Amino acid sequence: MTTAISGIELANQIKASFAEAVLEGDERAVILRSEYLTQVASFLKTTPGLEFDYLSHVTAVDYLDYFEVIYHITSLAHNHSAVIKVKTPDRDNPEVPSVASVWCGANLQEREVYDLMGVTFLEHPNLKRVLLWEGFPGHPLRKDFLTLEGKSPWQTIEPLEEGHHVL
Amino acid sequence: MGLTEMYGLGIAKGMILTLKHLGRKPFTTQYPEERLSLPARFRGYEFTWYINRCTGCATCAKACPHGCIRIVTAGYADNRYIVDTFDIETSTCMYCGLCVEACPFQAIYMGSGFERATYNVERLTLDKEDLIAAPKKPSLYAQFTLPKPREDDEPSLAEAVARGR
Amino acid sequence: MSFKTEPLVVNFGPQHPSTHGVFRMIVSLDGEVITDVEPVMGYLHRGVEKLAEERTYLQNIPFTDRLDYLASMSNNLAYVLAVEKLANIPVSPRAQYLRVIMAELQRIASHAMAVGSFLNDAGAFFTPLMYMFREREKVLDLFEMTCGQRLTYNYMRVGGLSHDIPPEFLPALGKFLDDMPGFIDEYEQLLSENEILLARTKGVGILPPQLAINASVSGPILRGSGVKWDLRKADPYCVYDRFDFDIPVGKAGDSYDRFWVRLQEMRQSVRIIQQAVAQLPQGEVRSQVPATLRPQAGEAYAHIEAPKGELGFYLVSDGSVAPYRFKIRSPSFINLTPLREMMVGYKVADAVIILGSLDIVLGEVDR
Repeated sequence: MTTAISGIELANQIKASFAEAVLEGDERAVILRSEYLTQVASFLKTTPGLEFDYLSHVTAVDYLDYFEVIYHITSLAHNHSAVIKVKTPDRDNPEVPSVASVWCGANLQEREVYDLMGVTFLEHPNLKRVLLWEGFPGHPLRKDFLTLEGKSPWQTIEPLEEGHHVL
Repeated sequence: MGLTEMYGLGIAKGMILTLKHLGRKPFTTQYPEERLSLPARFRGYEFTWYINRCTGCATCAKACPHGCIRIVTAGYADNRYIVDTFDIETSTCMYCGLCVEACPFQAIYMGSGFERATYNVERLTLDKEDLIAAPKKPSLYAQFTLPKPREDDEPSLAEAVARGR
Repeated sequence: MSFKTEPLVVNFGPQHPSTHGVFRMIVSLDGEVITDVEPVMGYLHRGVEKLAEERTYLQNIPFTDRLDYLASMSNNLAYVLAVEKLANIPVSPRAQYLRVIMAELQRIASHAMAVGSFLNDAGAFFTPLMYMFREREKVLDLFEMTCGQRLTYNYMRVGGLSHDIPPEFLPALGKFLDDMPGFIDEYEQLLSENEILLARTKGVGILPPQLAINASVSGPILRGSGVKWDLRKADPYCVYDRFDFDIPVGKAGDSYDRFWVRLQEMRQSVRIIQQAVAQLPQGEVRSQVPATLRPQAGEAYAHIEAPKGELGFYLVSDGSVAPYRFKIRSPSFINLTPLREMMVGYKVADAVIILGSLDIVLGEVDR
């Protein structure tokens, strides 16, 4: 059975090395300050006893006031898991450092979060849209997407030049 | 053992198996001529709707994930709504059967048909007249409790109940 | 002697039979050698995560059928497990066992399709695929008998299953379980020693275990690289801790190992189903759950070992009838992360084999 490490316990371990990094830790998760995310991620990956080598998944939730980026991490060696979260208060320009340099499995998943939720991952190796096309207006998983003004998304595909056909 | 030494042996083994199959009976059925019998719970086209049982409560319409059932009622009489419109847009229907599960009066059933190709999308919308005139072949899907027989039940429902028991 | 050739960019797909759907790879070639790959996806994006935010927990079950449409039962299972975790709903033992039987039957069907189409890509044109379809057909018949559909089952419900199995199910399943090991023997006779297959797949698309873990791949691809990680053992859900089965792992992490792991997993699935049928208890299959479920505010993540890998659902509830956030951790999508590392350096003909060995389903990649 995978043991879920409680956020309080993990927060104490992180605090021992990065006193500033933890905002709060509750039963389920640790909430980190975003500027420390990459350092804490590599700490969690390499510290003996923790060794979270497997990033299960990355996602984001729109809570209207802020975005929460959620990382489910697992250690295959110790068979334990934990949840770390980062909050981005700035709704117009949410930014989170990328963890793709620590776990390369974050590469596609962060691109997906960027595409659908509009959270920018700083220093991501290839941050561009993955499911939708370039030029799609807005980010559809945001709660205010359907109230966006403007054209329908389908009208943003550039018209073809004269004599060109889609094969 | 190098690859070159045994080259051809594995292929020959596979070929022997293929040869064995030549003598066996084919697994396929030639569709339009031969037909497989459908299981009793098959969820298919030809929605079966019993107007006597329907009270127009629109629980099925609310249960539909796509909203492809449209019900308009006109007035209330005899402890039920008078159903004016009952449209099932089968072009967007995904045959999940949630409407059948939701119906508290067991008035709607999935059908057993699967051949409804048409040249016109609009003909895929079943309206009240279509549903009344349709062949009644109710599927046994989602009949957790088979309906209590009523006097005004149509014979096809009584047959289905007998079949399900 | 080496020639210098002009670099060439080739589009694989989106309409290409080897991509198993609408998936596009922009492949840069130097002669015949792949120098760069960029996957392009989203052609089948339907916005399931957004749609789900406007529908009730029950209404979302049919949508999960349409993610990995070759393994709908597994998708149903992962989703209802997440909702049950969110709302603390108990499930009866009989329903637990039937869920395991259905999930393992689905694994056989999905792996049969994966192996068959992989061999099709490898050049064994349609003969093995038709053999695999023969068995998949039998599984689909069992499913059709139980829930009335062959592909989009909509069978699992929050708190159990939609129906109990019909009386004719267990005899038919017993016959299938008796026949299946013989069929797997046939595949092995037909294929695993075939020199053409070995030459085309051994040493092709090697994924080292460190990279596999780091890139978050899961399922047969992770195990093909030699990492013994299976959620059925590591984090048992339903009643998987009551069964005895092995986790097959590969050695080299090449395309052949991934193919071999899938074949062996079909054998293990047969073992699990046999044990589950022997232990199957009597009783109800659906616990009392309100028609419009309103879980209290909170979040839950449940994951299962789907045929393609770790399939997870992350649900956030705000106490209303619909999920506030519905996130699918889809294995096919995340398994594409190391695609470039796996392909670079191999010949262009191997690209088809490597993609085939990943066994992606585009409904799940694009969601």
